[in-house]
Amino acid sequence: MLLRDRLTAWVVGGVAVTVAAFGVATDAAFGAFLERQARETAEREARRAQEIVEAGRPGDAFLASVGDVRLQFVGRDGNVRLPGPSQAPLPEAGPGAVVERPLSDMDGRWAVAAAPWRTPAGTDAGTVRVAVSMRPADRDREALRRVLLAAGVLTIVASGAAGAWSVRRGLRPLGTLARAADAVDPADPRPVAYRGPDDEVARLADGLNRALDGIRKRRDAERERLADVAHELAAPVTVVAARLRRLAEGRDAAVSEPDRRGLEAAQAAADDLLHASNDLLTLARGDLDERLAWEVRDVGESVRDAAGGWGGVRVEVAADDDLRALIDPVRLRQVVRNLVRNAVKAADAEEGVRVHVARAGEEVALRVEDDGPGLDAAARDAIFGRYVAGSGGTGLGLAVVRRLVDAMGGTVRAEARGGPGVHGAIFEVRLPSAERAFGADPHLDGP
Amino acid sequence: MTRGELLLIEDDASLRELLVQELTTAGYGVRAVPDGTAGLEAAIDHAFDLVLLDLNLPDVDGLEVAERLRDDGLPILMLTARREVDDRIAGLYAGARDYLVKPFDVRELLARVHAQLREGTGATELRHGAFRYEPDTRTVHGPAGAVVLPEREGEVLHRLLAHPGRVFSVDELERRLYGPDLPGSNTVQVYVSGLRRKLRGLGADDPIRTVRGKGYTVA
Repeated sequence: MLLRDRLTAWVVGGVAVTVAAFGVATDAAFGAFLERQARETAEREARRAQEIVEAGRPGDAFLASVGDVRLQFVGRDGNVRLPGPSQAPLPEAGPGAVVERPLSDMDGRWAVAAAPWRTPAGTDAGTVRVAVSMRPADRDREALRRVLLAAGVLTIVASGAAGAWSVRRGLRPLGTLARAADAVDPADPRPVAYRGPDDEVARLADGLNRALDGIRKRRDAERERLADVAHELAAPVTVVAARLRRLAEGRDAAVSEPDRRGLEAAQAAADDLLHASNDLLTLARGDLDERLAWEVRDVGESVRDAAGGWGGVRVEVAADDDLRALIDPVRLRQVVRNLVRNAVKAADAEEGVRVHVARAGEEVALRVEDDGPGLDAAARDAIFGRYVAGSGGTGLGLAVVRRLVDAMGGTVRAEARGGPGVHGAIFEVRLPSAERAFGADPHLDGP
Repeated sequence: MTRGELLLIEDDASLRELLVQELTTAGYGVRAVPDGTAGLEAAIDHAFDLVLLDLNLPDVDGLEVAERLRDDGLPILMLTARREVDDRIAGLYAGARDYLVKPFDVRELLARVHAQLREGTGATELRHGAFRYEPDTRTVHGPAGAVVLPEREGEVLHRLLAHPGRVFSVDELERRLYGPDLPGSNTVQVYVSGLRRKLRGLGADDPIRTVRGKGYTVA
């Protein structure tokens, strides 16, 4: 449940409880008031009737109030003298009380009261009893209840809407911040942009940004150290690789055949070291420093050149296609080397790897297929992350591929090879064709 | 007769020896020195075709050496670690023609040296499609005749034709034309559009392509 909904529910619930309590209290107070009033009327009527009898003025009307009122003169023996013994006596309630259905022919609630009945001679003849119907009062009370209920419902609905609106409005900055925090890339934590009043949300944003900044600084420091290491390696690695190649190519001295094979292996290892340290530098540098030397080149040629070191790998280039793309040739070779090295490792043999270059619409597609164990879905998503290794290797290679292909404006994806009895993985890089890069540019084409 | 005279300024002894050996084998005459001072002195004594300069030198800042050498009109190929590539240096690289990031494959270095020298000297003519350009006379020949280009347009065309496929930014071409004192405004754009007009007038499609957002190339 969203915080927004929860707060709204609290607001509405609070208002509902308050309104209900208010309504119940009002109703009770009004009810009590009406009963008291009816009791007082009944008492007044009883006293008045008694006074008329005692004063011997039978000509006066016994009852002052109109409406549904009963008057009885009850003898000391409990029998009704007036209006007559056919009527049952009303209950005797000295100071007055409210009674439900006091007699069988009297529906509803009645306020009853009694006063002593004295003759003009002063003898005690019994009691004067009066009952006043509460029906008009109860109708008023019903009306009040209806008004209270309607007003209460209206109040709850209105306050609910207002509460929901203000909660939503009040929480909007928090929602904005939550979305911004959601969008933070763990691999590249940049501060979130938040603007708003100086309140708790702003403090939260500040705190988050301080944390992200710390992470970023630390990551930059790590990269810097990585770059330092790679930098230290640069000159010796260059020298070792080149020296070994000179020796392996036999330009310096006569070398025995077993030694030559050893030299070739050493040279291949040194080349790997050279490329790995280049990969390390590529990843250690921030994206800002990714400067590309753009050239319009035939991707097929670059691929043949880069994959040439693996004799067993089949390279197929669609001969009739225009395979020119806007690339950095050195970087593309790095991409191809990494993909092929990855595939050879997966296939366990150079012969299991096939490289294919062809035109695909407005793009040049480079596919590297292997017959290794293939990829599952989770691996497919994670495989381009840094330090995710398939089988062996540093795990840098595919992250470098991703970084460089991105920088060259292309895309890269990995999938499992399909079909019964078929296994292995396909890596496909697509680069925008040269024509797509060519075209009018208002800045460059000048006046 | 060597393929070109090179000055190598590199403080790492093992790398220096290696490069001397590789470049000599490839047919170049090489003078190698370990620091910037010796490099600048050597440049006074002898006219080199190309300087290979390590940016990270023990005595003088490599950038300073590069600026002085460039003032003498010497083309420079910089050798550097990627970590040094920031905007300031990148601007200078453009003036210095080219740079190579360590660690590098020596074959890559030889290819770059070869490309630089092909542009710098020696080449009497450059061909592309139906066009033929003679740098000495700044003349372009096409199917429908020939035209002599103004100096700046000639330099732009020379640079583009010497590296077919390579994309040159306006900034890079400007630095090549004017060195550090940039005239600003859109002079390069004006030269390119003048060049295109003249090339089209020679009876074949203009080979200069605009690469959106990046620069120009010949393809």
